[in-house]
Amino acid sequence: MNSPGNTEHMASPGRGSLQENMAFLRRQPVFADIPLEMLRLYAYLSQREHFQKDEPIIRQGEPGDRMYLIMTGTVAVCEEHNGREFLLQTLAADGINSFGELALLAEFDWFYSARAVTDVTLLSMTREAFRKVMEQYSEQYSEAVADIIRWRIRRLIDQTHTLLDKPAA
Amino acid sequence: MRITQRPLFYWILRRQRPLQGLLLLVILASLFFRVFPLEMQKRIINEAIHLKDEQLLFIYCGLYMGAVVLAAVSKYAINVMQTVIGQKILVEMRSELYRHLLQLPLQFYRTVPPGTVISAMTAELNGIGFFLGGALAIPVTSVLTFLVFLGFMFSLSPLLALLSIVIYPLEMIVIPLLQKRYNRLNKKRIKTTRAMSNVVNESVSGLQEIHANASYQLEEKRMAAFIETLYNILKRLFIVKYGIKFANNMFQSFGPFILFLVGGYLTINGQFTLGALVAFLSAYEKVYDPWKEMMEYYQALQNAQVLYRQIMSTFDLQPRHPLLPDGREPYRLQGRIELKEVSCTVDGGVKILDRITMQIRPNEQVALVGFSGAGKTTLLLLIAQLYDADQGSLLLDGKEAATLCKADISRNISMIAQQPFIFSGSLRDNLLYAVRADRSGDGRELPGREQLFQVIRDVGLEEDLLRFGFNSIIPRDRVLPLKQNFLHMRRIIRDELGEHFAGVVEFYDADTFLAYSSLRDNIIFGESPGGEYDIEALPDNPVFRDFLGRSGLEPELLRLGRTLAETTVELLKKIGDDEFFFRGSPMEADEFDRYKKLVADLDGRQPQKKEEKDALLLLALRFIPGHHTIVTMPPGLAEKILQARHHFLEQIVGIDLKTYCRAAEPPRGQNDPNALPRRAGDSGEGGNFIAYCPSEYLYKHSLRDNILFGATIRDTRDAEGLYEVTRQAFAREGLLDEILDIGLDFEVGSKGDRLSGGQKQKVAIARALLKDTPILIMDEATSSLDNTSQARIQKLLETRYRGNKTIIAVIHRLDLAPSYDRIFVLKAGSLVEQGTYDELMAHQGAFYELARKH
Repeated sequence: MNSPGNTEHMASPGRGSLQENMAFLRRQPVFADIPLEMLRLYAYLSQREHFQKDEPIIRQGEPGDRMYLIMTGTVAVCEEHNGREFLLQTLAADGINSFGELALLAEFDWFYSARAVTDVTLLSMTREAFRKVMEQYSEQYSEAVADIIRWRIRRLIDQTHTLLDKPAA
Repeated sequence: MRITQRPLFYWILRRQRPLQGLLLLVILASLFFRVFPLEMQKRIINEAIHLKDEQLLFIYCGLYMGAVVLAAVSKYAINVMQTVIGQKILVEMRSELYRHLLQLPLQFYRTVPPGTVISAMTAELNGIGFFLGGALAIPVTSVLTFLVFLGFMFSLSPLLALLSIVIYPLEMIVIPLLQKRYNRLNKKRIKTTRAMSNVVNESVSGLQEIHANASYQLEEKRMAAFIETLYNILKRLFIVKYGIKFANNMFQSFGPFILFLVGGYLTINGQFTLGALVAFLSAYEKVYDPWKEMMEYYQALQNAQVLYRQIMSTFDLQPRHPLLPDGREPYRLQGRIELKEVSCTVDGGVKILDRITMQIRPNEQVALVGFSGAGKTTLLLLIAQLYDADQGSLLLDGKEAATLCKADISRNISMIAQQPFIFSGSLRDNLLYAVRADRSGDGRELPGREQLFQVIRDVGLEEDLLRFGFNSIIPRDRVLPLKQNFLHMRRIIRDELGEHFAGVVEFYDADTFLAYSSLRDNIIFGESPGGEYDIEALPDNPVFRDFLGRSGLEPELLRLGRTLAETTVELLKKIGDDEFFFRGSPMEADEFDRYKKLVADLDGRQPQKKEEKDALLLLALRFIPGHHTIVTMPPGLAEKILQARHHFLEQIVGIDLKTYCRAAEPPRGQNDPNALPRRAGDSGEGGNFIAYCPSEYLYKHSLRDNILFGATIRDTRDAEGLYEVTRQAFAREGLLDEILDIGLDFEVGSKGDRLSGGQKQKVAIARALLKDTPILIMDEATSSLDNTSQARIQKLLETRYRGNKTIIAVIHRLDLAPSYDRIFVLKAGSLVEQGTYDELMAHQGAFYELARKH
């Protein structure tokens, strides 16, 4: 059991401060140009989630309600087709590090799965949170939608290239 | 007679007769007491004073006083009785009208807005109540009093008596003229008030839309028009009202003028005694009272008549179908449904249904499909007798539906609407709603717990209910019989499944700072049934404040509270009071303005006043570091709190946590619920204080916190495995039904606000299935459910209810269509196709087209 005064887990992930979340979001290209006030709200409303190696993060067919950014670790994105699972993409903290972007915009069931390849720390934002912020900054809405779509396209292109580059099985 | 066609006096003459009779008797008695003092007045002056007889004076004065007191007492009694009678009649009127109103057909409510109904049932009826009590007694009293006093006056001097009533006829011409004007304005007032309540009603119902569009000004303008109109009407109404009063007063002052002039002249000339004149003047004053009362009664009567007619004419409609059949039991139908050339037309001549002919066999399961606006829902409403066809005939088991009673229908047909209505109250109340209505009064028993749980499992509500049960703070008296079982569960979870929950739950541990519990929980680490250690009570708890001061924690907590207040205010200053944004802060949305002001007031200085300190302290004590991400814990504070916890328990509560808990904890692995030791508190140590010990049930925490003996780290979405594991553990221990039962007491909120759309549909389905009728009508009844739940319900219909229920379902998702016996396709109000799935697909017609688009 815990020894008296065992409080070092206070510093462990899961309770990331507002400032840290904000600094992280600021580094993401898609958030680079938005007003600071809005970014602070995003940072405040987003949550850190931790998954152990091999733990599923999202499952194909389940309703999608949030977007994820990888803070540390590696995540595999897969799709099940005709009873077989295909690896679509491997995402890591450096590089293309997001998935579930479209869940911010619309309700749908996940059409792919994501699984932790290593232990990972993710920063997630729910559609509800995104909409609530957008209600406050409605003038930013169309720009935000365009950003998210471009953001998704970037990942889609990367994904397609990965698959095309793969030697035929 | 239909309630809305009864005249106002129907109620007065037929209701509360014994009480009204008693009232009349009291009134007659009081009359005597009112005339008697006049006679005494005369005798005091003419006999006692005149003859200088002191003895007589005392007797007369005593009698006078006695009569006056009795008159006052009887007046008081009359007032009370009058109110009681009026209110009693009003109770009857209101409940009978409400019953009538509930039975009016749905179409009626399409044209009459809710505001009108609410206004009529509440304020407008109140206006009649006061009048009702005196409706019979007042005119009788007034007329009698008037005649008695007049008679007395005539006995004194016929001439003077005649002179003093000569002005009355004049009044009888002027006042009714004014009154007519008043009535007209009053009618307008009622109409405007109703229109106004409709506007308010609509705005409140549509508040979401108004907020979303920020259309406040638009709504204000809509309202302003009515406010202005009402102002004008009321202004004029009161001018007329005071005009009537003015006329009354004027007429009243003419009387004494004539009396003094003529009476004085007669007395000077010795034709009249002074005593008689005094008595006459008194009598004149008295005779005016009943006259005035009659005038006022007349006004009140007019007023009540206007209100009454206005209310009754609004609801003057015969309910289409009687509730109960005459001289027979409600039918028990097989479930055969036939429609012959049925048409339905709405205002403007639009045909919603056009000559529909179809037959559904008993126990057949059929689907209705078609584009929106095809008339599917109308067809369902027709079959459920919620709507009436204009032409054609609808037969249920060969009986014309229009001739059936409400009881025939409700006993045989259950309808599940697409957007079911959920009543405020507990889940249990809602689930039993239909079956209670059906079986009330006829001796049939309500479904038992087993049956209830069976249906709950059938429709997939079990998990929801378990969640509600888990997350609820169970009242102490419900915990007590199960306490040992719960504590036993806790040990199982700890011993066997502790690892499983490590990532999801932060277990209560006396020697660890708990990041997912509030600072209050961390310091106090316990609770008291009296509530003196509840979070909101702590700033005012002198013992606790003293402790904080001595432990040196207070300045640190105040500093933390201040950081929390400042950060929240700074971050959310432009947001306002949307609760969503307050999830990451210990501040609540409705406290924001107060803290905003506090932050502005402090402006760099130290908090001085008690309120300031209390407010900041409260935030710090509520702070849950793991959830309230807005601020991180200051370094070192956790250790200090941990020390303070031990000091608090030892010094303030007087328990040594180690021995307290160790003494209470059974050896590991020993899971016999009967082997539980006495809890330390029972022996007197710590008094009523209950510390977070594995052997204690924590009454101020949810069942979940108690079973897990800890706080959950991730939100429920991530902790889904947790429910499954605990569910299995509960099932093993045979406690599942108890938890379900606790979940049934979950309060669903107004209109079921606290349920999700899917949960509402499941409740509605369970509600209908519990009633267990031969015919089940479903209007896209599973549209808000996820795929798994939808499939579960479909499966239930195909297996359990196959062969014992006629099912008619409007379905949106055509992949469900193959499991129905037959499919009817509607298009623009007409039935265009019918047949089995295979037939229709082979036919390649309308259904095929629809299915292909999916």
